[in-house]
Amino acid sequence: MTTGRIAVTGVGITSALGQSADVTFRRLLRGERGFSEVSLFDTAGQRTRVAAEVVGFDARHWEEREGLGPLSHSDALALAAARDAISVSGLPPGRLGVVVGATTGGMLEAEPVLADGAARPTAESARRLISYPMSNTAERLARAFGAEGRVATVSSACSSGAGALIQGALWLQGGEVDVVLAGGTDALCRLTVTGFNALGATDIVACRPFDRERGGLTLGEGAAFLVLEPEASAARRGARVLAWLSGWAEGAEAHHITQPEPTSRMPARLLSEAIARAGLTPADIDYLNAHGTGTSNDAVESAGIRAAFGAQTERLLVSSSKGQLGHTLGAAGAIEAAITVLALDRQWVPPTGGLVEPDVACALNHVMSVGRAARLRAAASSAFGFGGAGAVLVFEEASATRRGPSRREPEVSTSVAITGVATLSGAPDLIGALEPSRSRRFDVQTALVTLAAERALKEAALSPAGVGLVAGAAFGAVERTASFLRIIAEKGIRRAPPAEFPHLLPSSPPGNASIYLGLTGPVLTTSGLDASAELSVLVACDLLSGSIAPAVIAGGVVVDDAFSRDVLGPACAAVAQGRTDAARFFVLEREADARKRRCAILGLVVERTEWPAGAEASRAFAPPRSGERALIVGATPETAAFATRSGWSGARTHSDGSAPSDGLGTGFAVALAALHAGEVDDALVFGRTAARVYAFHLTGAS
Amino acid sequence: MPSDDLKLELKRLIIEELDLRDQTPASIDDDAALFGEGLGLDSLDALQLAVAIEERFGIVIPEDDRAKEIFASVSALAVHVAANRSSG
Repeated sequence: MTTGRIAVTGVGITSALGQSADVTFRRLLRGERGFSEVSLFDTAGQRTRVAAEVVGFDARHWEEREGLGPLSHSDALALAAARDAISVSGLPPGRLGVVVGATTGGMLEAEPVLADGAARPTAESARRLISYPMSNTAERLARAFGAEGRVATVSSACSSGAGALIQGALWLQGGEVDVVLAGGTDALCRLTVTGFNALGATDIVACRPFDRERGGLTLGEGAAFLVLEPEASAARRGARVLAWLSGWAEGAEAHHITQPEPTSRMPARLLSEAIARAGLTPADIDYLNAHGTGTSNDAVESAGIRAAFGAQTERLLVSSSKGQLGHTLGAAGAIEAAITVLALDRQWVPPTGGLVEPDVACALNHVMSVGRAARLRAAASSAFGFGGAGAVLVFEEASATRRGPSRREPEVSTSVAITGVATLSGAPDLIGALEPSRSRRFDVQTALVTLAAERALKEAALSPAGVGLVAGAAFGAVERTASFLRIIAEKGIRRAPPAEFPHLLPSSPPGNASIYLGLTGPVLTTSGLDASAELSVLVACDLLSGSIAPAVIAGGVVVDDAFSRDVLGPACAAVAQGRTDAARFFVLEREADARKRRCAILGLVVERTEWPAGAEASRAFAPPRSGERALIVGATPETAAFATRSGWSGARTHSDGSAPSDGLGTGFAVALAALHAGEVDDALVFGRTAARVYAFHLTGAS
Repeated sequence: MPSDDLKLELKRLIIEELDLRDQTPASIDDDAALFGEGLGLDSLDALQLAVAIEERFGIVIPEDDRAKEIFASVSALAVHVAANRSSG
């Protein structure tokens, strides 16, 4: 299927420089910087009290206005940006997909509760914990805008926002949805401010990307969302196209949890891949919105840019928006993509705030002090993060001429083969099973992800290079985060353990696993409460259909901690969380690839979909080849209509009384075992949360 | 000269704080390099160790190049701690 080009028909930004994309961009061009003393919480004792806060932003106002229940500061920033994104051209009718990149979710609101471990949360703080999971933002947006299509939350540290845009592009290419609202959000919180402070990574004045005197990053908060739709859809409704999203690349460098690999191979590889995927060459790219955090990493990134652009580096205009908007972590990739779109639309390049004298190690064609009018045909935006994650996006100006297809278009619902599976449950010494010198500071969750992924990969007989890892987890490292926050509360900021902080991100477990195993495909965490494992498999199928990776390891991890079990789980209606220490991961590949390498295929995912709980699915599946040799796993009264409509009435229903989704993709494992044993030819696997229903049609290998 | 007891205490602190599960106090040479070669520690470990030393001994490790000399080896660290510790 050819969907044509992907049009950007809306951009919205909530930032320290303004509560709209237009105001933010105009102030960026004037060289204004959005730094001020943090008012959200006490920053006494930090290296700097300054950050890029969205001053005057009132999350309660958005809570009252939207009527969606409790909203975290992150949720509200996202809603404001999403409303801004649709303010000019609206949304086309059809199946809407929502994808959000984030790292902190409702951390700002949860911190006092997490730090005060002994006390029971009050009714108000417990009510507010519903906004703690990162997935809350996507669910709130899905409800606000009536998303009938796909909904996902992805986290890959500071490249999360860019990763979300890639996910949205893949959905459009695969025909999964008709329109996408994709972006990122992150609020300032004590955890990230104190964490980067402990790492000595913050500039004591204000960040100066690429400067000779740069002294670190300055944190920020904000959100950005883009409306993406097929070219034909934009033309049909007469929506003005701001730019085309025409290329992307996502991967990891499997090097170190905080330090970039010194030869900068991955940034160079991702830039080249994204430009090639767009059907362009470096000579076609006129502007790069770089990651440029203001830390020593800027030199490594600059080397990567020079490696990818070669002789074209001299004419490539470069700027980093972090000198004006701060480092907004999970939102940064989306905010900077939005700025890149605005640059193409208005033919103006924003500067790098704070940059006065470029470091010789960062020799590039920098735009300094104020914005500059420039002829821009195409532009790129890049984002990198802890764990070695990276993502690059390439946009073209609206008047760019359409070229012939430069690559193989993905087929709709590419058949995906499962070629490995491994299940691990709380063995007494999981961490002891890892090589000690390469698994320092691994926690149980990280050990589970690493060992299950390693075993699944071994069963599939695959080498790790290029392979991706998508870990489904509802809440992240709750106890470890609480312990970090308690140290700050009891002993003060100076006692915050620096080496702990990089392990507290939602994507730290797969990030660490990728370094341990040498995985260099996309590495991320998906968050979808009890159905995080099902969501992870769906996201992996998207990555495979879009040829982003040759193989992806996907599954779920659950850890037994009291706070998840007793407080977060009940608050968020995630019943399976905190019940056990366990992980299950599957290796997925395109069926054609698996057949080519003649490996054992455990089963095929031939159809997959999701829809909002309480609504009807927008499609049906094909019927099983034989009703008698078909199995339904994870059925609930609500899924009966879908099964009947798909012609599965005669199928046997597997029931052991367990919940349809347990965070571990157990329904998949049950179906695969039955298929592999030859008991059935077809299986229909359901997963669900209070808000979403997931369905997969699996068949045997033959 | 710092005591052997102090060196032992420092080795235990290093092993615990930096999660060196494959090391014992006996396996760490007093004079071997802690960073780079030797134990293979990195800048993240240096930050962690500095916080731990400050908490245990009340000694602030400077952020500049002097830290490299102080963290050169267990012996070098013991000399610095013995000379600067606020008690005992």
